[in-house]
Amino acid sequence: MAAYLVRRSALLLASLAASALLVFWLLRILPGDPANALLSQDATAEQVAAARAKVGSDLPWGVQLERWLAGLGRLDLGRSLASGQSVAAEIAQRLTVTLPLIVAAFLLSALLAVGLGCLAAFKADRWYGVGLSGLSQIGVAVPVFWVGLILVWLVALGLNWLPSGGFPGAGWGRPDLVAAHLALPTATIALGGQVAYLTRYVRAAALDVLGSDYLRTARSLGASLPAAFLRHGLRNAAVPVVSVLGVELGTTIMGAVVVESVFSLPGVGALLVQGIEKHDYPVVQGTLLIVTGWVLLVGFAADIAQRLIDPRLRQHHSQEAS
Amino acid sequence: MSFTTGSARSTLRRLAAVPLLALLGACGSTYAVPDTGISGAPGSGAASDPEATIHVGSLYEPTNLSFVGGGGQGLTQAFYGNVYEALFRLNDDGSVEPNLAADVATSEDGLTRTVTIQEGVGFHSGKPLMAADVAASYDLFTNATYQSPRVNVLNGAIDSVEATDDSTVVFHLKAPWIEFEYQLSYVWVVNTALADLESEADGTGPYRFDDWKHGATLSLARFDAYWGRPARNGAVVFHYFTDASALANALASGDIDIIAQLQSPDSLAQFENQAQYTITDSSSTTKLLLAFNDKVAPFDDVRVRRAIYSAIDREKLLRSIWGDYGQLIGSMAAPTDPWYIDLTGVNPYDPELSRQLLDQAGLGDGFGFVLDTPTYDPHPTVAEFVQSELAQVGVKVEINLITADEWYERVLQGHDFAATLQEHVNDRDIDRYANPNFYFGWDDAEFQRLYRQSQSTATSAEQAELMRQANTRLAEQAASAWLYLYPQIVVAKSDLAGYQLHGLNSQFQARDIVKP
Repeated sequence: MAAYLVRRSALLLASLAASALLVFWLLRILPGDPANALLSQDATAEQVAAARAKVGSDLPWGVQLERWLAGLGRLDLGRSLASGQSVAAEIAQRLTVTLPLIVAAFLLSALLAVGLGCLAAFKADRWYGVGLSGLSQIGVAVPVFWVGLILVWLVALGLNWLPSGGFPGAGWGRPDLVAAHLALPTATIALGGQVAYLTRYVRAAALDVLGSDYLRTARSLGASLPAAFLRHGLRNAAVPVVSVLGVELGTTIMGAVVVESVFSLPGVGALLVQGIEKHDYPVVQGTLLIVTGWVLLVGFAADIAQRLIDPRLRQHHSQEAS
Repeated sequence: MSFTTGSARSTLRRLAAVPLLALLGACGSTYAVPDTGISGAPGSGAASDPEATIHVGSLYEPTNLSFVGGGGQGLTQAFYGNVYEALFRLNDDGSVEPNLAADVATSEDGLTRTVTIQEGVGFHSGKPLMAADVAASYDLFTNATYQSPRVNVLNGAIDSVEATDDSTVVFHLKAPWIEFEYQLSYVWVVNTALADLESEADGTGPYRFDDWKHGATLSLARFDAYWGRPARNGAVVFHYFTDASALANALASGDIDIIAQLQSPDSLAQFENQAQYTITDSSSTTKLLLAFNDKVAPFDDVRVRRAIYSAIDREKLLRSIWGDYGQLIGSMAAPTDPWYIDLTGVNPYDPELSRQLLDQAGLGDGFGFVLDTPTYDPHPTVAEFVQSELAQVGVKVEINLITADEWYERVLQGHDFAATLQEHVNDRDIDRYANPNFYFGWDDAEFQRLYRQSQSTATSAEQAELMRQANTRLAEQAASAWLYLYPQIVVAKSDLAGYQLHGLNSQFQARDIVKP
């Protein structure tokens, strides 16, 4: 396990470094100069040059990269070219919106999916089992922004139960308002594919277990189906599901870009879009680094969790290592 | 809306009379009068809550808080006339009145302007306003390298500025300058001692900057020690949206009180014919241009430019995009510009005339050109419309979609284009045509002469008269094809009153807004 942890951590760091370089390079081959955001229509050549010097876009790529990496070494993500504010502080502020959103959406999705998926598997021969399975197929195909618009139309504009968007100015000083503002976005992420997608995995994994020899043996020894499933099946079914959950939790942050835009939430996704529009290199680099880091870290955690659940994986690896 | 400036005389009295006249004038009320029976004009005895918080929805979040750091139109919207003031104030109807200036005297030769500042003005921090602060703000503004569209204009006209005592600022001009008050209305007076102008603010306005939650809200609170007429509400919160329909939804669900500038025709329907909302449609200063590269053939020929302009049915174009809103213009002037005259008849929609003009220019067999079209709305739709209209007169348009950055670098800076579509948002920006190095590349001696003369006139009336001639010249020469003027649509809850309608340069001076 220790050797595995070391190897897996090395892979994590290498992936992070590679993605950092990729982001740096991709940003710079895009047309447009970050200095443009600072200039007026009738800027003179001297003003253009001065603005480029201020934001550092006149420097060779090598120097820009060197500076950025040196900053990263000090855990400094630099300052926004547009606002002049610390990128790290800005991202930390935005995470107070995005993290609660994706974690809440993920927990809601996971709970619903495990329940619905098991139900669909147990009752695969009943009409509602088939119905659930069919619904989940449709659910996967529904675009997330569409779910958002429908929910706003129904719940915010129609029933006037919840705000249609935005985030309270008082922030977490008013948790009740925050909860009200995050409720619809959370439901949007969950219903906009995540529940349906996870339900299909849970159902498949549960069906797999239900058809297994060991469960049949347990039942022939007198255990009821739910008891046998809980005692012998759950852990087995969990192995593939955990890895999918890991991928989902990781990538939900990307989905947040769309949802934050529909609901005008001041989260990391909105910051990323804003940064790209303004060619704000430090903001885009910093945000993407954090997002990539999140995806990779969650993947890492899911891998570890899988090994903890399934002793066979641990054994397999220790044999391989010896 | 005009004012005069005599030699060596105080102009204050006449300046102060201007807004009153504008209010009483035939051009209509400056303030919204909703149908609830509450008068919208400030000063009326409507039952309003003096501590109310006004929630404003906007698509323009400032980039930062510095007026010399590219804060953008969002900063003008939130801060101009609210947190920061200038020596002069640009009113909603386009007129200019003294603000921090108490008195302006002009020397006999017109080269020296002596401004006495208001007494008893203090910054929000408590520091008293001194003439030195005005001079320091001016220096900061004009030495800035970054976005301040007026810097080149100011530097071209003003030689130096000095504070001669605590309450007197002297401006030394290069030549007599009629636009002095107007241009100075853009120079905010800030406490230049602030360490970080990008994230802090210290002004003299009726509100102090309270809080800014990036991506969400910016709050202003009434400044109780304000030197002038205080705000009639307790606070203003700007709510920022990235999406026009999310902004409209916020009003529909009651999260905000007013949309300062509605940008999407599609989201209007939900507010139309509803008693609880008031829609006001005024003229904006945003002009949609089909701009030619006037230096390069075939658009260096006035006949070709006029032919293109006359081949486009602007009425139909405007209706298809804005329905019943917006208006046609025949040149680079909006009704709030002092030299506006209706010039839509100079180049009428007339395909037959267009064909004749092309014949005369030797292009009777048609020609083709590339139309560089920004990728964002409404440009692609407009480009297709233009393409089909011009096809009727034998001109083949190739639409080339370009990003905002490409437009900025290749068209605006590089002048490497044949024709392009672009919106020009500022008020009184006809002066762009006096600069042959601007991307239009229009180099017309007659226009430049009229413009130069207008700048050194003694009165605003004379200036406006010369500029009307320049304006007419511009239209006759069809330096660009001015397709239409955007509407300025404000949607508000009907119980809200006292808000600005034109929103020149996106400004949103909030102190007269009342809410029950």
